[in-house]
Amino acid sequence: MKAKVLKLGEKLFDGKAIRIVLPAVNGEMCLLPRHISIITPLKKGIIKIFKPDSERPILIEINEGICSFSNNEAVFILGDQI
Amino acid sequence: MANLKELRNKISVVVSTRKVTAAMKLVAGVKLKKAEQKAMASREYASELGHMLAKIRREFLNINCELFYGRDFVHREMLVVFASDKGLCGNFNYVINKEVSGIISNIHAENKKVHLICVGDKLFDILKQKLNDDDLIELTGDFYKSEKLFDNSRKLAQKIIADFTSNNVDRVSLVYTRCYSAMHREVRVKNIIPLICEPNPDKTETIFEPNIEDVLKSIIPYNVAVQIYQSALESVASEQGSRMTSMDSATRNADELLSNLTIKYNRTRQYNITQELVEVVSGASAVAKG
Repeated sequence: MKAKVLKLGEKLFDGKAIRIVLPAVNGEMCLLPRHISIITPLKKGIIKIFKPDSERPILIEINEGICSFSNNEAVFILGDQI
Repeated sequence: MANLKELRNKISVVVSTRKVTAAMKLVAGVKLKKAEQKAMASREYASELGHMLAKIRREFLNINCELFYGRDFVHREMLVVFASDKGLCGNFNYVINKEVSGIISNIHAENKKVHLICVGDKLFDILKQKLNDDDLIELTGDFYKSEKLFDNSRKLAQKIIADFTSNNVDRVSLVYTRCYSAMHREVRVKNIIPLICEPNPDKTETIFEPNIEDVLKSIIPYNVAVQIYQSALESVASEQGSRMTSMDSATRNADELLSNLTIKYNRTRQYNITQELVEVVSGASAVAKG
């Protein structure tokens, strides 16, 4: 699946991922390829992106944001006071 | 023939004007580069956020959210117009004015009222004349200060949403100039309340966590603020692009004028010298004959 992490004025990640762990408002959530379409706000925490070519995840610390997964693509919109 | 002193004065005026326009062109060029970088950096962010909302498949939703669906009857439309605070930017404001005037006429033709918010005061007085008595117009001054731009966008978004929820307006659009390059700009109209639905190839139902109401309640106002912010950035970049090209053409015109005036000055000087020589020669020959 594809993943994109965007901050206002900055692109933090754009590439392929095999698993993404994210801090959704209701608790931690894991996205795998072909996950059902979902939109959820994010709370303060860390997004872990597991790439196909590396065992170590990419860690992105966030304050707040929104995650949308659709068409096998995860888009993270990060910001404050969303 | 114009006299030499007059021509010298004209030349010195053109030279100093040329210096000013050339300096303004350079300054606008630097500002354009910065503004373009800023606009480009957040373009994808704003567009992804807008698409995220626009692609939500509405047939699965069972909620009552006017900010999302809009209203059946539109009595008053709000237009947020992004013009410039400063002049000397070529036809930048003229083009927006033309577009907005067309939209206002269309709204009036449908017997609806207009609520205009002018961001940047250059078009305020001009657009005011195009409105009817029951239309409204507001000016949002000092909006473009870069350090406060996102805060200002948030405040404007809150005001717009308050106006919408209290039924003062029924539809909101942004009118701004999209910047493609220094030479290429285009006036665009973007609906922000309600959002125009986009086709989504994913036919499955979308899950909203924790629930659709909370998600839309937080995303829609944020999206309005981000779209306003992005429109303002595009507008600033377009303004600088327009200023740069117009100052460039002003500098070229000054060069052309300067070369014409110099030729005229040299011709006049030569004419005067020839005239004096003719007088001296004819005087000398008259003395020799006498």
